[in-house]
This record gives sequence, C-alpha cells and structure tokens, in this order.
Amino acid sequence: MAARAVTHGERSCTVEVDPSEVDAGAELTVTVRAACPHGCDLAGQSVAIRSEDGAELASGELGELVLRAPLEVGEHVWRAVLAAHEANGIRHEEVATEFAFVVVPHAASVNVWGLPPAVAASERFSFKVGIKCSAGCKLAGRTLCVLDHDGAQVAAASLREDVWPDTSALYFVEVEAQAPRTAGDYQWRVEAPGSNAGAPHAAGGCTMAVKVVPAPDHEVTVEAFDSDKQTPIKGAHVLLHPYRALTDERGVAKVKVAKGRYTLFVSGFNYLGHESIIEVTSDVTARAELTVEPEENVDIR
Amino acid sequence: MRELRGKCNQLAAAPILMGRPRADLRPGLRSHAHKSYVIFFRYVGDVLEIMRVIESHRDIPRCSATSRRSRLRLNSSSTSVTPWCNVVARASSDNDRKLGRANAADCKHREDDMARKRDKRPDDRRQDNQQQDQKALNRRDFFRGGAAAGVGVAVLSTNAVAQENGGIRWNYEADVVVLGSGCVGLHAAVRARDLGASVLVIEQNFDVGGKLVHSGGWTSLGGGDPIQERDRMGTDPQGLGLKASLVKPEDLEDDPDRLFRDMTDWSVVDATGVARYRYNDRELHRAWADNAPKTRQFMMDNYVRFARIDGTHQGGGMSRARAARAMMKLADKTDVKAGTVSPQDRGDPQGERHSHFAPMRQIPGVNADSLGAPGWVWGGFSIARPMEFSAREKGVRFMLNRHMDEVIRERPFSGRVIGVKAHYSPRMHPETGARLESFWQNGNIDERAEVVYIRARKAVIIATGGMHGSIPMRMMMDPRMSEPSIEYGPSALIGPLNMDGSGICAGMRVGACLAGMMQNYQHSSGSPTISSVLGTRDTIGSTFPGTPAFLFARAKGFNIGGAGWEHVIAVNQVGQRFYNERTINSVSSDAKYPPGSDGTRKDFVPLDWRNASPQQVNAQNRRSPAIDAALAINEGSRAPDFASGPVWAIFDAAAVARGGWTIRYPYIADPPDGYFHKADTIAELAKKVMGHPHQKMPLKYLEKTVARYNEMAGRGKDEDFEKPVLHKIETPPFYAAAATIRVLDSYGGLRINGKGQVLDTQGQVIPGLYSGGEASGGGAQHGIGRATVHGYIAGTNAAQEPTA
Repeated sequence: MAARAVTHGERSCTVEVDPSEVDAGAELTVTVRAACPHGCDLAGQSVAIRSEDGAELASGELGELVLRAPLEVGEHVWRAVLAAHEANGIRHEEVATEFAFVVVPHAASVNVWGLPPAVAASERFSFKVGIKCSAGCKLAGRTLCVLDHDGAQVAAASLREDVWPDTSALYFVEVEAQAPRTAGDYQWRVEAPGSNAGAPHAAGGCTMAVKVVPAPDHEVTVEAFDSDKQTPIKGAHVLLHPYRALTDERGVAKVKVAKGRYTLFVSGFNYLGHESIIEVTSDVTARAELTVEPEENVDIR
Repeated sequence: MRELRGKCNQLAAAPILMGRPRADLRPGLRSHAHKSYVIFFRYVGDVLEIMRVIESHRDIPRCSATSRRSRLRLNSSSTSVTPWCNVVARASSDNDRKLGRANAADCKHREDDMARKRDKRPDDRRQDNQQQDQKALNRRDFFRGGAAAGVGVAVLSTNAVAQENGGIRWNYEADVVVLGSGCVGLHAAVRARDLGASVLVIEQNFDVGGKLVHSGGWTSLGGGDPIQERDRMGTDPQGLGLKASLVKPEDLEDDPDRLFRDMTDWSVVDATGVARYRYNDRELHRAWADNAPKTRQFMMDNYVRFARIDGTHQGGGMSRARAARAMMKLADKTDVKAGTVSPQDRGDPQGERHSHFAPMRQIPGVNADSLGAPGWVWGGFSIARPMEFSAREKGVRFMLNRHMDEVIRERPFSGRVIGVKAHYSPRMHPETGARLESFWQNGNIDERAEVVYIRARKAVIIATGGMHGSIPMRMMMDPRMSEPSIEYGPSALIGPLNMDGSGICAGMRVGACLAGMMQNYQHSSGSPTISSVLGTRDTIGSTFPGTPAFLFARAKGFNIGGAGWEHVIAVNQVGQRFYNERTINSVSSDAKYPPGSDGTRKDFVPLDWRNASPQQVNAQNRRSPAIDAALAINEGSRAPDFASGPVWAIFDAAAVARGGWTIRYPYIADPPDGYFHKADTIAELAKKVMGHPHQKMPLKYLEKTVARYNEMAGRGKDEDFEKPVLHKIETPPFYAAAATIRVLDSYGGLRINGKGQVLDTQGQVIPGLYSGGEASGGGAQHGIGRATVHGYIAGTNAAQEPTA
C-alpha cells in the first residue's frame, strides 16, 4: 500500500518582468522563482503564464520564460501559476502570483544629418532624415514633414524602402528645402506623425539648427603642408567657422566666405593643429604648416 | 573535488537564492554547508561567484561586526581554508602548519585573483590531467634525466626522498631559484648559471619572456659599453652588415662615471616638471652604471645582436646616446645562434599576423633599415628569445605555469631565505580548454601538482615584476589606482597574475622594506593615461592574431592618435564629457638624450640649474590633467570604491570616414566583447555599453551630451571644455569604443642594495634574497636597460652565495 503524501505549506513565488515597460508586441522575459518553506528542491517544476482572461500564454520550467507582449497599450496584469506537484511522497498545492507590466507604443527616434554647416540666404539645400522604430519595425513609406521656425511646413517626404548603410533599421530620406531670406540661426523641426499600422507607433520628432549666412564675398584658399617634409597634406580639415572644407591632394581647400575676421583652424590626422587669425577683405591665401604629433609612447615599446 | 564542483553548479543553476545570507561576514555573501565543506559564495548579476570553500563539518557561526575578524582568523588556523581555484593538497596544508602560517592572507591574495578572473568558469582554470606534453619533463622524467644530466636542480619526490628542513617537505631544489622569466629573471638566470649555479626559474605564465618579449627591445645601457664603442669607431666587428653610425662619435664617448652622473643629475626635469633623476637611489645607480657595460657584453655573448645606437631611452641620461634596438635578421629559418628569424616567426605586418615567437606590441618585427641594419627586424623578442635559448642551452630549468605564493625564510623575520612555495597556474585556451604551452619546451619541468615547495640552496631572486595587477598594492603607490577598470599589462600576453605584486608582497612577509614609492605616482609611464588605441581591452599588447595573447585580447584595437580625439567625444560611465578631448592624450615621457627632446633645455649642461629654472619647467610642462578628470567621481561612482568606470569615445560614421579608421576584425572583436558598440541611434548606443565588464549603468546622459555638443558645434564654440574644433556627431551609425585607462610600468618595490640584495626595515640584508626590475624600488628609470643590469647584478651575486 502506497504511503500517503505529505503536503507542504504554500510555495513562495516571485516574478520579475524585464522590461517592465515594453513595446507593443515586443519580447519580454518573465523570470519565475519559487521556494518551499521546507527547503525542497523545486528545480524542474513547471510554471504557466496566464493572461488577464485566464488564457495560458506559455509554460515551462521554473526560471526564465520569453513571451511576446500584447499589442494593446496600457497596463497588463498576468499570473504565474505553479501547478500542484507531487513527488517522493511530498505534495505541493497550486499557487499563483500576479505580476504587472506596461505596454507602450513603439517610439520613433528621429535623426537629421548632412545639413550644411552654413547656408546662404534663400539658397536651396538638402539634408537627410532617418527614423528608427524602437522595435525595429519597417518604416518605409512613413511620412514626415519639416516645419520652419514659425511652424510653417517647408518640406515633406516619405521614407525610402531601404535602410541607411550599415544600420539595422534606420529608414531615411533626403529632404530639400529653401533657406530663409535673412541671415541668422533658425530652429526648424522635423515631425513624424504616429501610426497604428501593424503595431501602435508614437509620433516622433527632433529639432534641427539651420545657420543662414549672407552670400559669400571672397574666396579663402588654404594650403596645408607638412612642416618637416614640406609636402601637401590631403584631407586636412579647414574651419573658418561656420565654413568648413577638406584639402585636396594638393593640400588645398577653397572656402567662399563673407568678409570679416576669422580664426582659421587646420587639423589633420597625425598632426598637431594649426590656429591663426585671418582678416578677409579680399580673396586671400593662407598657408598652414602642420607638425607631426608625437607617437603615443614611442619610447615605451 | 568533483562532488564539490557539482554542488557549486547546482547552486549556480538554482532558480532561487540558495544558502543562507552571511552579511555578518561580508555584504552579499552567502554560505551553504555540504558534507564536510562549507561553500561561501555570492551572486553577481547572473553569475554565482564562489568565494571560498572551507573544510569544516559545521558552518561558521554568525558573528558580530566587532568579532568578525578574529573569528575568521580562528577558523583559518583551525581548518583548511582555501579558495575554490586552488584547493590545496593535505601535504601542503601540513607544510603550512609546520611553518606556523595561517592560510588566510594567502587565500585573500588569491581571492583577489579570483575577482579579476570572475568572468571565467573555475573549471576552465583547472588542470587538464589528461594532457601531457611529451617534450616537457614531468617530475619522474626530470628525476631520471634532468638532475642526472648534471644541471644540479634536484627533484625531491614527496613520496620517495622527502627532505626535511625546518619541517618542510621540499619537492625540488636548486642553488638559485629565480621567480619570473621576464627581463630581470632571464638575465639573472643565465648569469647565475654561467657562474656555476644550478638554476630553476619559476614562471606563472605558460611561456617565457614576460613583458620583455613584447617590448621594443630598445636597450639603453652605456658607460662606454661595447655597442657604444663599436658605433663610436663606426665598425661592424660581428659582421652584421651594418651601415654607418647614426650618432656623432663624441656623443658616444662614455664611461661609468659620466653615466652615474647623468643618472643622478638633479637639474634635469621631465615634461611634468619633476626632477626624476634626482630621486634615483645613488647606491643602486652607481652599481647600475658600473655594470651596464658588462651587461651589454653579457647579452651579446648570449646571442643578442644590436642595431646602431639611435638615441637614449627615456630615463637613460641626457648627455650621451646609449640605446640600441635588439634585432634579428630575416632569413628562411629561425636560428638563434645565427641571429636569424623566419618570416613566420617574425609575424606579418601586412597580413595582420603576429607570431608566438614574437608576440610584440603593435607592429610585428619592425624593419631595422633606418637603424643602419638593412635586412634585420627589431623587437623585444630579439632579446627574450635569444636569452631564453641560451638559458635552456646552458641547463637552466623552467617550471612554467607556476605562481610563487610565498618566500620561505628560516624564521619569519630572521635567518636565510631557504625556498619558495608555488601553486599551479596553467592558462587554458578559451575555446578548446587545452593548456597553453611554451614556444620551446626543452628544459621545462612539467609539474602539475597544486602546490610545490622548492628549496633554494643559495638564493631566491624575486623578478616577478610590478604590482599594478593588485588594487590594494597599487594603491599603496598611488591612490588614483583604485579604479578597477585600469588596464595594466600586458595582461593578455602574461595572464591575469601578471604584475600582481606577489613578489613584493612575499618579500614584505619576510621582513623586506619598500623603496621609491613616490616614483610610481610621478612617472608618466607609471601613472594612468587614456589610450588612443580604442575598442580593445588590450591596448598595451595591441597584437594581431597569431600569438596566444590574442585569444585573450580578442581585438587589436584601432589607433586614432592624439589628433583623432578632435573627431570624437570622450564620456565617462554616465555619458558626460569631462575634458577637452584634444588634450586628452597629451604625451609626456622622461627626459633623455638628445637635449631638446620632450621639451628639455636644448643648450643642456649637466648639473646646471638653468635646466630646471622656473621658466624652463613651465615651458616644457606637457602634463594634461584629463586623466584626473576621467578618474573623478561621477554619478555612477558607488561606495566603497567610488569607481569612475570606463571612458568611452563616442563618434559617428562621418568621423570614421574622415579618419579612415579600420573598424573590423581583428581591430575589433568578433563576436563582440563589450569594448566596442555600434547602433543606429545615440539612444540605442547608450544602452548597448552594458556589455563592458566595468560598466555599471547605461550611458545615462549620452543623448543630452551629444545634443549639446552638436549644438555647440553649430555655434562654433565649446562652452564646456574649450575644445577648439568640434565636429557634429550626427551621421549614423554611431559608435562607442572603450578608451581604456591604462598604466604601463610599475615603480616602487622592494628595497635593494647595489648587489641586488633585498634589505629589511632596519636596512639589513635579508640573506639569500635578491630582487630587481619592477619588483624593486629606488629608481625611476624605465625599461629593459634597468632590468637587464638588475638581472645581471642579482645573478652574479646570488651565484656567489654560500650553499646552505
């Protein structure tokens, strides 16, 4: 005759949800731990996850379970249920623990790049806008608009089918707009409206600084040379704020600027930077001799 | 052991917190009794870390805070307390008891090692008993062949011919026991062997060479050494095919007196304004100057070849040229006697390959054409491998994979040093689990016992290097060094026990005094700096695949140089900038010949006060406090160490294009190792950095920081840190590369005299104990010039000690 099973007290159960705020339809990890007041080894015992309406969503052994969050935005309360279990003459009754998490719409991260550092008044210019969904959704075709400093729409576009090179899901488009007629610093805004296509997506946006300058008066020619070898430096960066340029294979960069007083910075990889003041009242040529920077810890090797 | 391992695995796999909390002993500690053992462990994230295993039938009772220390001591002495990685055999415990030593300190030391290795499974570090390298000697083979061959190193089997000495069962004995096979160790070993001593070298790594083998091999000696004389005469007596000398003959005229004067010239200041030579111990540097010429000849007698002298290594003096690169000639095959190295052993600079023979820093075997030696290549391997070859040829024996834990003296603080205790410390291939083996195996003693005791009939030479691998010890020298993410090294090459301060610590335990503690704080290569080699944990080694070191480094890193910092921002562990990035990498090194280099006074006159006038000091000062800002407390700094965390270089695809940086394997790790991250957006990037072992939180402020930086770039002015040129970080993808804070050299250590003898706190010689190089203090001189001579001196005098 089989011995009667001894029933132990209620198992304690703790549940952790990661993340506690999760994108609609995205994965979330539920970790269920349990302990018996008598110190029984509970390893391998099964647990089920049930939704608010009691539907079983997943089951497995104690530990981590990976589930998919619902698409409905808002707080959800689910339950982890440890089934009744009997082994080696010891019985544990069913126990359930509630846990909560919040489902949020997918966020849109909006990014602007390729904007010219300075745009002449009334000039047309272009830049790139990229949008990344927090859940990595395909955003091709999603619309966006560009609002100027007064809130007026100055451009609109739809994201391209392909993603920006070397990114996983950054959808982008090149946008063209016209600069204001007056020189100055302007704050424009890119906005991408929300959407419920597939999964709920929140609206997104970002600001972009548009620097509008007067039409250039003169050309500054900068020649970058290695001070020791007296050889031209290709790819040196020339800055006459806000104007920027890179030197060509002859070590030369030409920058059209408005007349005025500028600090000229010339810098090259492996070189110490050059800094000088130039007064631009006519076309001018400046020579920058750059010194090779000391190699890091050359003696230590 | 199997059962204990199984129990530990059970603890790790359990879904709930196991054991009982032992916050009374240490916060977060838990204990679990299992049969006759008690396992102490803690949860670190998802990892269960075994702290100690105690042989005891009962758990340690709870104790109050005030009695905690004494209770642990009581248990340590009454039971066998061992860290998980090194459960010591009973015979060893017997020795410990006979020596009257509690194991607690020993265990704590190894526990620190464990903490550094916590990302590795304990089982991976265990010996592989199945693997036997037939080329090496095991204990039995050694007893039959090695000792009988007349080299004089004896094996004393614990079962067969146990020898009692003060109650210790010695497993091996030799006239001179050398601890460490780096620059000091190799030179000391060969020199002592030349003088007739039997020599046994104990090395914690799997291979010989220490830091020397990865160095540049630029050896600054002088005092009228044979290479100075050769180049002064413009001759080539060894027929190396050398071109004309690179330095004027008058700048090569030298003698020991001039060298000594240079090495103690108070007036020379370095780029941080410190008169570093002033603080060199005069007795040590007199001996060093006297022995420098002899050491050069000694190296040449042991197959080391030198290129033309081309300057002086930092710390090598101002008035004469004294440094030459060691080199080997490229040929079809490697032949140390002929001075040749094969292309395979040299490595392939174009093919992104290093070699086991020459695991050199940065560029594999650099071409020596510009050093007057066409067809030759230079590097530290050109010293390390010839010296190792010569040592093996002469009968020096090597016991690799063995870490010295304790120097044994007749009585705790008196009498002769009579031997050492050492534990097995193999390094395993991280993928195959096989034990890593040395390049050459002839002369190795393949001893795999957990612990052995080795008797030294004449002397023990501590050549274990510095202490940057031990946070408590390095903090003795420099309190900034509390930061756990600081890289020291080269750890990938030499292993996690590299520079662990064990030699210094062992000397202190038998009464040794320390010297030159302040020099570590002052020295540019002994102080932390921010590396421009990004995206790797191993900026010091910075090797390509092909050397075993790469298995641990995982990536070579890519060097953006000082100028590259213009194109990136540097942020701390919470994502905030902390300094003008363009000056983050301000390079400063020690004052050296020729005058004028590194900002020193060009019309230099030895001992002239004008060398150190306030104007001169201010003019040449190039120190950047960026490192202090990087190590500052930030929002992520938490008690008790308030660690500042890693530094990250943040940049975009446009910076990569401008700089032409190579961002692919082997410059970054594949699969990723947490030191380099890429993301579509800055927000994503901020979250990804959590893969770094020392990053405690996402880069919380990174989005704000980048937004502000871009805004300031648009305005053309860095209002926060006055960086002169700013480039917007806006073109996807975005990158975060670890800009490792690192420290190269270790200064400050055991106090020695001019004979290399270790002194106690009364200034008295500790009989039978020698040291040199980074394990010793009293000199701020960098490099292998210092270490070669120290090895030569220690080897010379150790061999002449009376035989006990």
